[in-house]
Amino acid sequence: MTRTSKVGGRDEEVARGAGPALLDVRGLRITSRIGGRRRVIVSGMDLALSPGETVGIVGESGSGKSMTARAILGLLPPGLFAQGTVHYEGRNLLELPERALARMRGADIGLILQDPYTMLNPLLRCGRHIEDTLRQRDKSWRGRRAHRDEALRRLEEVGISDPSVADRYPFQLSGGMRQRVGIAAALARDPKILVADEPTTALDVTTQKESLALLKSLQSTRAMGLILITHDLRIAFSMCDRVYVLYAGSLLEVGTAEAVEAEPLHPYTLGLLLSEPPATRRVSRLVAIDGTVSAADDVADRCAFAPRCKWKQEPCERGKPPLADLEGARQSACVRIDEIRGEIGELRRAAERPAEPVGVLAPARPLARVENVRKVFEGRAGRAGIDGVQALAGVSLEIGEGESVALVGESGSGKTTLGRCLVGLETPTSGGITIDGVTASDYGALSVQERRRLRRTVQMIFQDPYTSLNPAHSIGFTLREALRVGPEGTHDLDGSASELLERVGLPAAYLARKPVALSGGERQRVAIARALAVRPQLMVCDEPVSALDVSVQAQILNLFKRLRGELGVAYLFISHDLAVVRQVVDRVYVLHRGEVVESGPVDEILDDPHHPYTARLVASVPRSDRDWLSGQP
Amino acid sequence: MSSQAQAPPIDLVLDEYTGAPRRGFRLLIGLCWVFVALVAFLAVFGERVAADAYGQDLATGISTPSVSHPLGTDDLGRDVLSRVIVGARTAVVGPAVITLGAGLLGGALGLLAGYRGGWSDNVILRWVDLMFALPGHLVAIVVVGVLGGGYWLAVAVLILLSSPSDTRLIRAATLEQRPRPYIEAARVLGLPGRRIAAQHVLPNLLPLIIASVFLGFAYALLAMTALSFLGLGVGPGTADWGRMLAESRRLIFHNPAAALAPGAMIVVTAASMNLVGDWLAERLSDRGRAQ
Ligand code: SF4
Repeated sequence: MTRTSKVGGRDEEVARGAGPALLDVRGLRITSRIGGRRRVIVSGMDLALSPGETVGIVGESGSGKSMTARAILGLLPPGLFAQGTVHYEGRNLLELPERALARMRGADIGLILQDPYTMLNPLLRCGRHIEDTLRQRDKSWRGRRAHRDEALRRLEEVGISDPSVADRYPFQLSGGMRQRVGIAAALARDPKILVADEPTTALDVTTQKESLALLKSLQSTRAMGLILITHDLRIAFSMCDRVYVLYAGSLLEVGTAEAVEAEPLHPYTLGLLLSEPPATRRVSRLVAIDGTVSAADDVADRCAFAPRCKWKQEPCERGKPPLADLEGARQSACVRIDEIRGEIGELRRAAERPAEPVGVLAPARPLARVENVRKVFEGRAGRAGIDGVQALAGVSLEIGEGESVALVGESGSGKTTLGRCLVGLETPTSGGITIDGVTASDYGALSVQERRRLRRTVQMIFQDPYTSLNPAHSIGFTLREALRVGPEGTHDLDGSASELLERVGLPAAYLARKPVALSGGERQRVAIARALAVRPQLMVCDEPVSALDVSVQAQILNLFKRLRGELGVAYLFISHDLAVVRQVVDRVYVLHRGEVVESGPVDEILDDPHHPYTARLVASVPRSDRDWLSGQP
Repeated sequence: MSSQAQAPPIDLVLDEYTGAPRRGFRLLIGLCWVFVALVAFLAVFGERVAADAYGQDLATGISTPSVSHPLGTDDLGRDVLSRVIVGARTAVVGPAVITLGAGLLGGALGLLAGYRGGWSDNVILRWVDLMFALPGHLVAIVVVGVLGGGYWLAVAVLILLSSPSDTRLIRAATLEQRPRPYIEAARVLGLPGRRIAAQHVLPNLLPLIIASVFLGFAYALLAMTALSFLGLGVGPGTADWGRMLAESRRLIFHNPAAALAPGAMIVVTAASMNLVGDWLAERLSDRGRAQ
């Protein structure tokens, strides 16, 4: 990755956080108390924000990043308590009474949430949200007209030039537009600090890039302090001056974005960087961090990363390592950093290996063929004027035996609908689907034998591992049930179930557990094992890793790769994430508004897209450099 | 955007965030449990605890509470306490059968309607709508009255009348389960619909079912005692709370305890059942499980 084009003229002082801090958080500790039991959620959080600076709080789920933001704003949910100091303009926000805090929120510190739907009152038109906020800023403010004009100006500032948007209700807008209105409302009182909590996670990739670019430009023109909370390192690096890496409630590393990216000084940051699948090339095996994220409370008295760290030694668990200052305004909470620095640096550099060529595609015997499939979702029956929604407008594709094919597109492209048609959860309105010689256009019309054969040929992996396993049953029950359907018969179900678990990298002891006791990654492994139970030849994987943390995502992607090698199973990988797709598939179909706009070998499509939509998708994949946001889509 | 603090929904007994009983109400829930257990015990062993519920003593006649008769006697000289104790049986058995019967019938229909959809859903929904359009208590009184009354007849009619609300509840919950990925995964595996409904949908409705059993019981208890009060349930002279309430009304100035005791039992039993049901529902729901 070339970093020659880094923005050079950045204010060094600001970047180092040396200016007078606008916001100064020290020793923030958040605990919960439920049923008399205290649990640590975040401990020892320090953070400084200078005017005009963007800092990122990066962390996976359970890191406590959102709670940190909420604590700063005094918006912790009931049952959670914050200690420490949060200084803003000479006052400790944690000690302010609620009334004073409420006055301060919006006026001094603005907030943007993941889904602006939760911030915008659904009963108020978009313009009203901004007008109301303006009125609060200045009670003596001129008449109605002036408010309206100002609101329109504010909307224009966030790139909404169509004045009719002000008269629409939030639910009438797309996700991206809604987020823009949310940003305009959050900025209406010109706050000095803006806290953005995963502002683009709910958006499509192309919209995400636009929203981030907008946020960045607003921040720099207003010289606002911006705290960006994200799970995506690439976004943090491209947006922020400095980043704070949070893990299981502990701050592990602090530094400028460039420095941290080039030379991480904590094993966890290194792991995160390495497990990020590169969008530009395929690697044979992603470097995953083993294990799963610990609960903050369990690691409150030692290095939070110790349970997963390969450099762990006795001193690591002798107490919580403090954030130690290193050269270049950097800080790391690893006690052994001086000893292992060299090793970390080497691993980081080794990760920039050259691309692994995707093997030449031998023409495979076709396994599944989709021909000109259309799917129209009927409007409400009996209601005139409501037309059906066309999800698929004549899609054709082919999947060969043992081949891995991706269906790429944004929400609304119809990619999930097509996947569901393949496994019989939807029936196409017209067109044909043939799988392994069986006509699978309408599962309902098949004979029992044919249907059984199809079920054993195609299986599906769902996106959300938290809902794809029945919470009422043990893992063993789920797997045995699937095995009974499979071709192997019913002898020694337990043995086969243990084998399945082993295949997906889980111990047999998990058979007795309920899904609640498993982490997201482990659940997804079980879901994969369940699908494998019937020995399918094709697995339809609907965004199988998008709900997982980065460090776990790499493990699951590696598992997919390994299973394909071992079992020769074919994949239809449905995803919006091109970096993920690059790692696991041979061929790509790009779906846009229900039509395939481009298809071909993965390297060709991603390196040299021909269709403008594909090009836009490729450009939207987050990159760590600052050019990513300034570059044209 | 200034965010106003949202006023949480107020539940006097249960904490809105944890679902645990509020301070001071923990004892109340405990007492409710004890009371429910006591009534259940009396329903089974009542006749052994108090053998002389029907023993008349016309010579004594009506009397106020005393050591030998803690709640006094009624106009026929029968011991009120014994009658209240023995009356627990008809108060528990009928409603229990109603709740169970309505739950089985209504639940099965709800599961069928919710999972199968299509015409079975249509037919079942029409049936539910029809039953909801009828004034339940009135229909019960008329039907039981016309057919000549009787405890088990009343039970049968009430099963029919209260099953539609179970159908509606289970159908809605099933519809909500249906699009969940674990149900779809079971469909993709090709499991038969019956098995999916029984093994995958039903277990997840359990908290709901348990809560509705308790609430349904309280409703059935009130309905049964109302019918008895009107003389449509158990025969005259039976030690039954509804019947006793009707027959001892006139004694209110002679022996208030005889008139009030059966009524108090009805109210406290129904209220305890309601609270216990509420508490269980909270405990078993996702919110409670997160603890
Ligand atoms: S302190 Fe020890 S366990 Fe923690 S990251 Fe450093 S080497 Fe690993």
